Amino acid sequence: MEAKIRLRDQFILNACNISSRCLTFSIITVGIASIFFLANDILSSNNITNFFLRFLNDDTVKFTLGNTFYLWIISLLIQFSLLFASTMFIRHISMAIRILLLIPFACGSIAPALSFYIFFSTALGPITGKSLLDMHWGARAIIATIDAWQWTGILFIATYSLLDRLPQSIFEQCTLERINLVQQWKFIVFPQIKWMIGLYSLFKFLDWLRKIDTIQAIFDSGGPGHSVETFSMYVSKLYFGSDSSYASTLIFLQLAVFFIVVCLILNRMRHATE
Amino acid sequence: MAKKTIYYIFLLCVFFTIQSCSKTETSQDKIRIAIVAGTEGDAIKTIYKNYSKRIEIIELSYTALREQLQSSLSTNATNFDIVMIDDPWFPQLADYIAPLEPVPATLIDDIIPASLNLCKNPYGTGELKALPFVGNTQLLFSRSDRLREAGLNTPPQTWSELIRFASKLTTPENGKFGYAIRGRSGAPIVTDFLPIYWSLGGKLTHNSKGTLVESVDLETFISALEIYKQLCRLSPPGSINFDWTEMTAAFIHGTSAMELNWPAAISDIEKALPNDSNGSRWIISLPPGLKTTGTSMIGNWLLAIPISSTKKQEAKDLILWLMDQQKAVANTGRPPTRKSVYNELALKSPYFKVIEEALESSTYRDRTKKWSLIEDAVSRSVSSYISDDATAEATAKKLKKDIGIILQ
Repeated sequence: MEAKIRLRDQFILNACNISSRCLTFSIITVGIASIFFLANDILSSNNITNFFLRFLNDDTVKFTLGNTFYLWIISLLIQFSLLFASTMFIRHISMAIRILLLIPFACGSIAPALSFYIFFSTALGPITGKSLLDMHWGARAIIATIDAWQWTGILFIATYSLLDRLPQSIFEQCTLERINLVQQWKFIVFPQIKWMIGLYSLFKFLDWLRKIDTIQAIFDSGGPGHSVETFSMYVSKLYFGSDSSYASTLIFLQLAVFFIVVCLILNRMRHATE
Repeated sequence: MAKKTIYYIFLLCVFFTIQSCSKTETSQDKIRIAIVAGTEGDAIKTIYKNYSKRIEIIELSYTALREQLQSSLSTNATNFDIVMIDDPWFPQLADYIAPLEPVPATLIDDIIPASLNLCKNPYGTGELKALPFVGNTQLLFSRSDRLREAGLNTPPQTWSELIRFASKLTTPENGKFGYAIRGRSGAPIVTDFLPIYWSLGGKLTHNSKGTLVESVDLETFISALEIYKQLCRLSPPGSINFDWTEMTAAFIHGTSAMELNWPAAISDIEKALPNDSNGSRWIISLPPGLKTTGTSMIGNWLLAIPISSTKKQEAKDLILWLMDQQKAVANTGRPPTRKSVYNELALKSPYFKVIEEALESSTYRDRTKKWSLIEDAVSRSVSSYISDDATAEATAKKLKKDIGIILQ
């Protein structure tokens, strides 16, 4: 049993290293491409200072980054609440359930988004009064719920894979010593899954930074008052609106900031798992 | 066993590679047309097989077509011989489009000037680089049965009259509303709002010594915003996120009595609301204005040939043939752009005369490569204002500043 646990530890450590390398590699690759693209634009227009000045005064950048951040947080809150509730009571799931949990992810994002939209639409769905779609927070909640619906299954599977390695005897011992479920979760379950949650949050932030399709499918340019317009939607509008140089500047800055944050977090994670 | 499997997989790969190569070879003989998915593109799909030469249709969704055209035309890729272009994209793509002249004078004289002007770069005066195939323009749709019930016999002619009518027709407790805005952020809200602003005499940009500069009139813009907010209050719940489908559904169900919509809605409305003993249950008219009927937004689909096409002459012949076939494919979903076709269609369905009149007096979106950014700025302002995020004055000032930055 101990050998098995050691092997699994090694596997998780390797997975963590590989994923961090993949992440770093993808960031570097996109970063290089973006630098070339930006350099090309700068050489043809010679106004890099203007781009950076424009970025500093661009309210839409702040607004869309804020929206992206809100949506990321709301979606994670929904997912982690569900995860907390389930891991408190269930620590092992069968293969059949694992397969079932993958269904929302396999459905993609557009079809569920449209189903959610029709359900909440006053003209096409069963709701007649004021709809969640009309309000800023309602639109954000719907988009975050669609994301949570799609991704929670993956989070569950990843979590239960880690919890599987905990021997059942630990929990039996806790029950005998009258340690309640919350404490069991806090001292046994959470330490086991915390780095996975950290890595997942980071991947999800990357996902939110590139998310366009689901939102465009049901809210076109970003819902009431553009309240669900993400940073990538804004950049894509700039790119396809004959402002590709400024769009490149924004992507480059995004990558620079993200690269630093990812390096710091992954470095810390690597040290912790070692 | 494993070796055999690998061998079969290898053979399968070779087969598919050869097949894909042979497909590429045959596609070189065809004229490739990029069309938009939907009723406008279907017009070409229904008739292309009657043409003497082989044609390959590449059907793309609205957004995909725009992105595909922008990336393939700007890199001079020889993907298409003919492209279908929504008119606001034209200034952005015009540099990569081949001149079309000479075109027979009989055809040019037969095309409605408002549509033909869209095909020239610069607008109305430049070289002819496309021909308009679908002549969309907005119309005011009114439920004449509900107007009659309220003692109103004619559709409104001015925006103040429309608000008065809509207030009279609004009874939220019965689920009945006088109007339906198309409030979804992005192109929908902009196409719904700008006819009001234009009708009041407003402009977003103007040409100053060959340069396009911002010219938002704050007072006019604020008045237009206030009208739009009143209309929003007289619209069904959820209209802040209504697009074409939701608006048409609300109109058919009688939830809303009036709306600005595209002619494409006519076929659905005609089927759902047949005439009753009192006559027609719906009517179309020109959008309201300040003192008399106003202007609508033009939204034509153009056919053009990319500079990179290797079959320019064949492509031009095909465009001229398609323009000749306009009568065969024109309907309310894809209104024509030729006067002669309108005259013939109006004999059967008189509302084609109204569409023609609306097309003739329509207004085009500002002709700039950066139109989509201006559209986004307008959407951001109007959507924020009707969501109660900002005052009309702050909204108008922000838009003025944003358009100024975009055009810098």
